[in-house]
Amino acid sequence: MPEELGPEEIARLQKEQCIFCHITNGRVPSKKIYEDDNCVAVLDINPLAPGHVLLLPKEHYVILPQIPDELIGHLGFVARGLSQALLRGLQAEGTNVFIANGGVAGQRAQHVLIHVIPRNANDGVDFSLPAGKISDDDRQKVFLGLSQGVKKVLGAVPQQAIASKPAQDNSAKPQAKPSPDTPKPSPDAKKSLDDITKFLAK
Amino acid sequence: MTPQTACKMCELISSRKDVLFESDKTIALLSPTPSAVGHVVLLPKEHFPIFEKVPDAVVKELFQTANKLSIAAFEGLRAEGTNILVQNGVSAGQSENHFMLHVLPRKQNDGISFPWNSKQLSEEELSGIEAKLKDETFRIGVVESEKPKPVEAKKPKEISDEKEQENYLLKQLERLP
Repeated sequence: MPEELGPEEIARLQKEQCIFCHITNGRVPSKKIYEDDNCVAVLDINPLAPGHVLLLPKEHYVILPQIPDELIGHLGFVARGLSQALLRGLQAEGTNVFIANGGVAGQRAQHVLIHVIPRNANDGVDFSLPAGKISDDDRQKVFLGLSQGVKKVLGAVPQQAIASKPAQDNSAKPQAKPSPDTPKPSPDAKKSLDDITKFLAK
Repeated sequence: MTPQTACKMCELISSRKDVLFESDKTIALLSPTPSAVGHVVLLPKEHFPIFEKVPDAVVKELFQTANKLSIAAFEGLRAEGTNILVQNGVSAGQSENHFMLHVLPRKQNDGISFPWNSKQLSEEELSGIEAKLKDETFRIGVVESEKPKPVEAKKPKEISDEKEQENYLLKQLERLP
């Protein structure tokens, strides 16, 4: 590797060596199932499950934060469409959408990938999230830390949200009762989960 | 949409506990049962049980916000990485009947792992899947209005309550040629 490369040179080399850029420009063959001006979806050739789809922006971005908002929104929109395609086309019972930012999070490619994975019972795939506990103290520290981060990125947290009622009239939110008698999740909630299963079942 | 008084997430939203960010249509809170330090749940304020029901504009905003929350985790918690996860359907790990995105800050040796057991499929199998999916993906990007629509124009009927959802996919499959 030659020495003293400027950042532009590095970026150019990255693109040239990026297999996913070669997939989008057609130099490397792939099974494309969707394509538009901004992104392309291909079958993963080493899938977690048959039908595992990789959704990627055509432009070379290494991590998600580099991607402009508009494109991120579009990728989410397409991901939903891909999820739907998996449910209908492969009779999947469910889908996972998974993004890994950074090596420690499982990112393997140097190009942003959004995984859309069809799921079925006992398919040997696991994206469960174990329910953990956290002490009140730690919780507060985490909240403060994140709030600072959010403030930096998104602007001030709207504190009035804490006091006010939700703004929308036609929303599905219940009118919250602040009393200690707030009902626990009823059997209806469990039934709803059963409904989801049946809903997405073959 | 019918009010979801039995929805744990709707209750959580109403409780305003640990709200990190909210907009007109979305809200981000600390997960009440965190799987990672700084685990955030990001939800539409309106009750949508699954991904497919969430309207276009809300989907876009949710993903944009998830990215920003991810950056906030880098900034505010010195995360070394983040995962963004959707569990759509019980088989995918969905545990609450309210669509949400999970934003999980990650660090080296944080004890979290998503098993990755890749499979090998034959060229034939892959081609078969490719064909089936191409038959469905043409629907993506069909212009939809901003107003929340539970189903696309091509789907057989509107879903108005949970009970009907049970038979939704079945009915839809029955109507396919």
